Amino acid sequence: MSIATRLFKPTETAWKPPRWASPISLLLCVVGIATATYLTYAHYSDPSVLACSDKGAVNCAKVTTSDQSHFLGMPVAVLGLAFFLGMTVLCLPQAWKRQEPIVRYARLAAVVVGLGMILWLIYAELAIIDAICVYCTIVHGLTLALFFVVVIATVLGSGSASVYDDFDDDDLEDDDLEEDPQAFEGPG
Amino acid sequence: MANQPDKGGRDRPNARARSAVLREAQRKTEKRQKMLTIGGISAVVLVVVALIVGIALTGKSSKKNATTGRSVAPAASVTQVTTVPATDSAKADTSSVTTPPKAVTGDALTFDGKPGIFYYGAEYCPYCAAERWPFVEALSRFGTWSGLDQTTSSATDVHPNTASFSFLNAKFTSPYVSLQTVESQDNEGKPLQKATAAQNAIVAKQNSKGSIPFIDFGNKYVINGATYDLSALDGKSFDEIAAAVPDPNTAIGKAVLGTANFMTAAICDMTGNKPANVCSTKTITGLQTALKNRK
Repeated sequence: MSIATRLFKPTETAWKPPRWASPISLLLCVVGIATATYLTYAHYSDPSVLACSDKGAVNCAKVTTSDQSHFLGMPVAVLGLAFFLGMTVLCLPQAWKRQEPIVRYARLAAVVVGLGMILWLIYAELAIIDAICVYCTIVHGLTLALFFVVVIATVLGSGSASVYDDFDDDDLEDDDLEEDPQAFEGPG
Repeated sequence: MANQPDKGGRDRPNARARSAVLREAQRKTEKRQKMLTIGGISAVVLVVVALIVGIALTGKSSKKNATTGRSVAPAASVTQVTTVPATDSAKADTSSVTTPPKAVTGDALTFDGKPGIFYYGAEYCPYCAAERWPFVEALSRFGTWSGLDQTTSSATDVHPNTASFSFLNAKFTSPYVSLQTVESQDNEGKPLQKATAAQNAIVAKQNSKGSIPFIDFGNKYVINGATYDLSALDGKSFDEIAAAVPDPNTAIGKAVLGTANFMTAAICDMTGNKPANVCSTKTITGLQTALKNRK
């Protein structure tokens, strides 16, 4: 079986994510979109519109106008917004129910990339810019929470146990019992 | 045939029970594996986050000392500069002040409903370094400073490494005036604070040549550049300058207090001569007249 077939073919073992996965991840995405939109608006208008201190350790304008506010030429605020928009699609109930492995791999890959990005930005804020942006920190927290939700839900939703969930005693054939009767003998 | 299991009867319940036990054991094993996986991933991520924060904070403290040189200004020195007795400051003549504040016209500048003072400078700039000393002293007559840092100007510019305050983290509270400051670059010329659109408009209107330091006293008076010869500060440490400021007989005290008196006169013009104990002295009223005549 080719890799493409494996990725796009529904799994033989049932993929059954927890019920809480979609609503919680969607909620995090929606809050993330709102916060990232605010930061994007501030980026393209005036950093001072952010309701935030501009002195001391908490200084949003200093962070959002720093060299580190761009990554590969793109404003990180825009990248954050794109991340949460993409994650919203991947966290819709229909997406969580999809049996094709590619969907959950894509969701996992996205949160891993998001986690890597926020780790870099946290380092940049603390070590290079020497200031913290409240709204950036909210986005970092949401991304971290989303990472845990996706990872935990993916681990809980997959696995061989689902095979047994679908296994029914009536599937036992009488011939199976005949093949090795000792194997089904009870104690004593 | 008698030894064969009963196909449809006695052994089938045993088989079902056995499969149920197997399923339960499998579920428990898998659940344990999943919990271990989740716990492991969580622990790794949290440790990585903690490591990054730790490394960042450690690197920040060493970088602070190694490069920008900015650090919290010693409290004792700040006190020396911000508590100069009025009798001492009055003794400083203004002969060292080569370029006093200049009167300008424009709509009254206000911040938060109070007469506004706007400072625009940069940490690398030696003239800004010189101007912060009288500026801090003058404003301390109208309110309270906090969060003042110390830094030095560029090591490669004229008057290299001139010691001074930095307004990057400073706050000033006053019942009479409101202050906004921008330190646009650090002492290596790297971007530091970005002016808002409103602040840029002030600079464009009152400082068309783009000189720094630029100080706008309520759109009534402005300072564009150095007001005194800062040679007196050359080679002096922050603490040495701070110690000399209160003494009007030293070159530093004379220049700093003389400039501060001019600044005070300009601010008193903004506040309607409040507070009276600051604005009604003979020195300040005399300088107010001098500023107006300079028009």
